[in-house]
Amino acid sequence: VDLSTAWADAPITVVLDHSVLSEVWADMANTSLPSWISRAPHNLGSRGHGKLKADQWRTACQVNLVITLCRLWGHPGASSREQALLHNYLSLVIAVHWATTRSTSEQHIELVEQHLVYYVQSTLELFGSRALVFNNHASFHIPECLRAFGPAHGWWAFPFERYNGILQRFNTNSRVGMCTNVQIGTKTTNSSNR
Amino acid sequence: MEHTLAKAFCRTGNLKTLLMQGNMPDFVKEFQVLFSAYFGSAFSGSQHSDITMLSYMSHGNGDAPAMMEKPDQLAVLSTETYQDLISCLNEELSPPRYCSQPSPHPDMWIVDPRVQDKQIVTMNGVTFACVSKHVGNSRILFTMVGDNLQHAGEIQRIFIHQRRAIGLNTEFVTEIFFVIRQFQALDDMQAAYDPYRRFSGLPCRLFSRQFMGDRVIRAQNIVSHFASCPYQRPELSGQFLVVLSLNRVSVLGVVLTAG
Repeated sequence: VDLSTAWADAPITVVLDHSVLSEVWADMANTSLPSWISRAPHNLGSRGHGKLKADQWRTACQVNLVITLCRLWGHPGASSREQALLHNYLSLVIAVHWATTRSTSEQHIELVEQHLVYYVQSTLELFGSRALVFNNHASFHIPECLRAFGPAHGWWAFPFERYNGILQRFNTNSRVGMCTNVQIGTKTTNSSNR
Repeated sequence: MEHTLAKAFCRTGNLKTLLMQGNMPDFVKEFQVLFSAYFGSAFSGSQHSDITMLSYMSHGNGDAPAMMEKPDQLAVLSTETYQDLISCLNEELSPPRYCSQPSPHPDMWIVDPRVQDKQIVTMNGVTFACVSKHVGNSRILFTMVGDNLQHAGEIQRIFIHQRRAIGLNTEFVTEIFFVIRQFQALDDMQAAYDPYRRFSGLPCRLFSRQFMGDRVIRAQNIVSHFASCPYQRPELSGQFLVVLSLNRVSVLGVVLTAG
């Protein structure tokens, strides 16, 4: 698949429409979470909440959407497309869950590999080649990274996400290239304590 | 510049983990107060909880529970909870060593029914609370000795109890216990309509919102918190709860279900 042209002339497909999002919001309001979890915004999917942090994306995708989409699309009366969408989404959720546990093993890795492959194949069937992005290719390297380096929390990109946040919040007064190493170092020291 | 960034990040990351340990020398603990005063508000989020938990897991939690109240101010357990506590204490002992009444056997110890109640406890950097205090912090998955099933329950009561030690040099041992109200698992007929159960790798199941009764468990029986949401579908009559495990040290083969 040529990913550089895959999106050209592609029609827009809405999966989480307003009716689904309304159900998600209702479930979010009724969901009990421990205090250590970062909550996703109550109006998830609206423009109003702005950009989500990686942690909020994780709660939204691994907790809130799982609870609601399974209820909506997992019952026997759901259409075949809804069931296919659910299988597609949950294969990604399962892969992410087992790829990011604090312990890993060959069994974990095989489970991750199996669900990642299913996710990409079913994405191709459901949405066509236009839905594939470069990260889908990159995700196939996760199993070999787990084998080589162990549990993902030792090498995942959350620290770099935090760097991006630090750099984005840094006040440059529109003078790019004028920040000294000392300024950056001080800012980083303070922020990395978070 | 990248080198400076990476070095500063690693140094402060290590410093943060170091300060989270409970068994630090006193002068470092004093420094921790200053550190919290300056950066305390920045300590939040799932990542922070992870780091704290990992720190305790690798270095241990130095703060053992302690009875703070005078003996005459302690609460007395109800007969039922008292018997549950004795069963819990005897669970891994063969023959049983704790009892409620004087025994002719010299190795049997009478368990004190007095306890100190707590609303909230923090263990390994994670907060657990009674359901009356915080519903999310009270909902936990737990296992019992000798089985690989995870049960879902709600913390009704937390108490600290002191008893005579067995096989230890110390005379008394102080421990935290939890009174758990366990959610009832689905029967086979209901389980057929559980949409979460069809995905074997998904750590999520439906439980009935009816309770099975109370039981006393130890801190080491707790697996993790869980996210929960009421569940209703026309094909499934009754009140149900979606239970999604938040355990991040998941081990394959441990089943999220209950009997």
